[in-house]
Amino acid sequence: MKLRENVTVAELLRQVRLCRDEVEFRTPEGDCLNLKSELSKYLFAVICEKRELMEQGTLNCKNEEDRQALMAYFEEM
Amino acid sequence: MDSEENVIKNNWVGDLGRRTLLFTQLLRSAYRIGTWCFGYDGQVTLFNATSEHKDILYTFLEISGGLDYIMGSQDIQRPVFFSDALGCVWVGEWTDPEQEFGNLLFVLGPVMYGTNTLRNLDHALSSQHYSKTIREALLTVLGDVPVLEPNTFMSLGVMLHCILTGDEISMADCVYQSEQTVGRSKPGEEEDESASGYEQNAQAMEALIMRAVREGDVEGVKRYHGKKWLGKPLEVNIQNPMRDMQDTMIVFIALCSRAAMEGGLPARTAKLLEQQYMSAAEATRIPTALTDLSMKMLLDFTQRVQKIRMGPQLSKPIMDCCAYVQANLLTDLELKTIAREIGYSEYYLTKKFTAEMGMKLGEYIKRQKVEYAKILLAESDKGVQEISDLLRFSSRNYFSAVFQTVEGVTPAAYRAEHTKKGGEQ
Repeated sequence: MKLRENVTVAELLRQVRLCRDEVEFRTPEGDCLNLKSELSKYLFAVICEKRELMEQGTLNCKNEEDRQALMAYFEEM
Repeated sequence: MDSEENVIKNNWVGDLGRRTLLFTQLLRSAYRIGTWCFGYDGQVTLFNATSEHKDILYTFLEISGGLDYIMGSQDIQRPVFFSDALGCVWVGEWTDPEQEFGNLLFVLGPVMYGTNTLRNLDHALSSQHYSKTIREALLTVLGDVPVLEPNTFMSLGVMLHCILTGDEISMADCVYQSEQTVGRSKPGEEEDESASGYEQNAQAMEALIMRAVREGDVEGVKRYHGKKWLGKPLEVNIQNPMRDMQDTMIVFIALCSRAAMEGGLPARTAKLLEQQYMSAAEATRIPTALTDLSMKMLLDFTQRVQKIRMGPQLSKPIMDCCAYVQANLLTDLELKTIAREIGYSEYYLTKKFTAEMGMKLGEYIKRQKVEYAKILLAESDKGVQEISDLLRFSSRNYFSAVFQTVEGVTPAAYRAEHTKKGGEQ
C-alpha cells in the first residue's frame, strides 16, 4: 500500500510500534526497511523528506490487524 | 526593598530574549550548533530552530524518544544531556515557569562526539546493503552535524543554564541521560589529532581527582568531575568510540578504587564496588549514560572514604566484618560464618558490632543489600524478583518491604525515578 501525502513520521512510527508483527517499507530501489528496527526508522524518516522516494515506496504489513490499525496512513484506493 | 543581587537577577530574567538570541548566534558562528526553542502549553510547539535540516532533525528528536525524555524533565531546571540511537547528543533546559516568559524549553544540538561515528554508520549501512540513495540521504543530514569534544559540549550546557538563570553551575550539576529505550548507534573511529596538550591537562586533572577521592573530598570531586575522563577516551579500539569510552571508564573506575583504598576504604569493599561499576559500564549503550555513571561512581567512592575518615574509629575486626559483609552480599550471610571469618564468638561479635556501628549486624546487612539493589535497579535490566533472588532475600515481598523501609519507596518506584531523569542517586 502507498502512503498518503503529509504523513507525520513520528506518529506513524508510534503506531507501528504498537503493531503485532513486522511492518516494512519498500523503496523502488529495493530497500526493505523494517520500521520496528532502530536504524530503519531513521532511514524511513529521511525517505519521507524526499517526496519522490516516499511516493514510489510501499508499506507492507504481515498482519491484517496491523494493516487496519495503519489504515489512516494509507493513500485512498 | 530588593537587594542589589535581586535587582540584577530580575533584570537578567527580563532580558532573556536578547541573551538567548546572542547565544544562538554565537553557537551558530563558532560551532554550527543548532538551537531550538519550544513552548509547552499542554502540548509542544516549536517556536524557533536554527539547525540545518531542522525538519528531519526534529523528526529524529521525536522518533528517538529524546523529545519525550526532555519533556519529562520539566521540573529539573538543570541542563539535561540526552543521546539518540545514531550517536547524536543534545542538551536541553526548561525555563522557570514562574517567570514572565512562561514555560520554554531551549535545546542545543545535535552534536556528535567523534567524526568516525559517521564513518562507521556508513559502514554499517553498506554492510546491510542499503541502496546508495537512502544511505547518502541519511549521511548528508548527519554529515552536517557538528563534531565536538564531549567536554566542550558539556561546557555549552553549563553556559545555557547561566544564560537562562544567571546562576553558575558546574558540569557535575548537569543531568545525563541514563540508559533509556534507545537503540545504539553503530560505532565509529576516533579522530586523528594531537593530544599532547590534552594529555598534560588530563594528567594534572587526574591527579587532582584521585587526591580528592583519597581524601574523601566530595566537593573537590564535584568541582573536578567532567574535566577528565570523557575529555578524550583511550584510543585502544579505534573502530569503536563507544567501546573506547567504556574502556576509559573501566580504567577510571580502577583508579578511583585504588585511590579509595589508599584513603582507607577496605579493599574488599573497594573491589566489590569496582566490580559493580565495571559491570554497569559494560552494560551501558549511550555516551550520556557513561557520564552519569562516572559521576555516581566517583561520588560513591569519595563519600565512602569521607565517611570512614570522619566517622567514629572502628576497630579492625569490625572493619573486617563490614568488608566481609560487603564482599559476600550475594551469598547466604550467616552470623556463625561471619563470626568464624572474623575470629570472634557470635555473641561477642554482635555485641561489639552494635556498640561500634550503632546498629545491629542484621540491620547493617540489610542496608548493604539495599545499596547493592539500588545500583542494580538503576543500572541494569534485572527484574525486582531477580534482584531479590540475587541478594538472597527469602521472597520478593520481603525484599520490597526491606527496600521501602530503608529508602522510603518501593524498588519499582526507585527504578522509575532513577531511570527517568538520568538518575541522581
